[in-house]
Amino acid sequence: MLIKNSVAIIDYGVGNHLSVLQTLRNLGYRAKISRDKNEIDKADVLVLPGVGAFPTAMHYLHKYDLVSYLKDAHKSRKPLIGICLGMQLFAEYSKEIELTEGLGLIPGSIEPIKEKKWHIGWNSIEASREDNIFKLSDNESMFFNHSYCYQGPKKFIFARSSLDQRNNSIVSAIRKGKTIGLQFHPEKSQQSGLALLDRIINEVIT
Amino acid sequence: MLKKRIIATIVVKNSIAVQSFAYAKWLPLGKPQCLAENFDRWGADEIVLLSIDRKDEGPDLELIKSISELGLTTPFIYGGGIRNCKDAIEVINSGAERVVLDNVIFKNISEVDLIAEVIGVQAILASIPLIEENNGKILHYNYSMKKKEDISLKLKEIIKKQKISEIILIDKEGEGSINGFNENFINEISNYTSLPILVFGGIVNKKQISRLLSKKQISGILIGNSLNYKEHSIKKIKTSIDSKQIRAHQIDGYK
Repeated sequence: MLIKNSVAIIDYGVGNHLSVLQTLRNLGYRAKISRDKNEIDKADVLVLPGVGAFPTAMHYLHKYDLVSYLKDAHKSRKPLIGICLGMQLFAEYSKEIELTEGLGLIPGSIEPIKEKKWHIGWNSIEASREDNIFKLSDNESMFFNHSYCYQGPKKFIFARSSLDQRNNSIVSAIRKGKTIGLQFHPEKSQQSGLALLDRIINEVIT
Repeated sequence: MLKKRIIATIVVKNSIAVQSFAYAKWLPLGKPQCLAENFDRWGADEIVLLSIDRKDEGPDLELIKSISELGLTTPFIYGGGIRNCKDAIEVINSGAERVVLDNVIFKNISEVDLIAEVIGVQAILASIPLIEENNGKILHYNYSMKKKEDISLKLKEIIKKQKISEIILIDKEGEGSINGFNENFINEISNYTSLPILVFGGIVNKKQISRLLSKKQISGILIGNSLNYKEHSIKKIKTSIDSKQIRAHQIDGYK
């Protein structure tokens, strides 16, 4: 198999990093888990995964001195992909448990899901713009597992997912430059997720 | 719209996957890793691994890591032996997306607050084994104490906390049988909570699967033993019930 580009999974102490690691390696990328900035710097793409609560995650990003590093990476247009909680950390702040400042890479906030307490399971994503990499995954099912969601300016929203038949929906993908956030877990969304993740990495690298 | 889930269930004893009968008798099935790989390939919507003998030893972290290292692309839930927040964090860090809590809920409910603060409410499921007595009374079966308990007070306390995202209702007597899930349990639990319910125990009949999936509060069905009898069993179940409420089987092979 042709070895593709390298991906660093940011290790900030909370989250299921092993699954993301194995998925990236299965896709042919040189992937590693690290919080060592010298190691992370060598990667072509950074992935910020996440399972957990927003305040705890931010606490660990501060603890490991990764907040300013990630902000600088975003500013310098280093490709950055956030998964689930990782995507939420890109926002300016979150209301989960307590008001907590996020990385502020993409304007917007993390709010409780309206009318529903959780969004757990498989749901289809709907690309909200024609000119985006999510269009090829339109109506494909991805695995979601979250209780808060992104709210922000329309221009950063690249895909949504319906919650009910009354037009309530959540944002399932956001993007600003080479920083892309996925509310779902592509690494746990079988073939659909793998194809989309591969496509995203290829696009942000070029 | 969210789809309802067909969840493949692996019951583990001594780190070996077993065919379980009412959690009282067991037959070995083989390596849990092999079953997990099959269920991943066959298109399960989620895989849950329940280690039933970890009461004092804590979660089986080596097993979780070995499953995670397989690089499965199906969400993975682990239950068994989670005694406190530290255990729950280790389970997540070892590779599970979500955790099933059992004894800790009934023994130390305040610990659930701590777990939710770190891993998030969406990652917490509660396992509630139930039995129905001859007089129709429905009771909680406490595995660690091996006794039946009134469920109403404890369940109200758990629900009030709002630190659990889904309940796994286990038909203790029906588990491992082909007699079907006792649907009276769903009616009973509905009296206390509107939380999404997953059901487990004795579910093999396609008519019952369809009926259970049509219930509003049911978010998924756990199936164990019977999935191992035939190749591609999950695909066959999904095709046979042909419900728009479930995710269609995906064609294999991106990797």
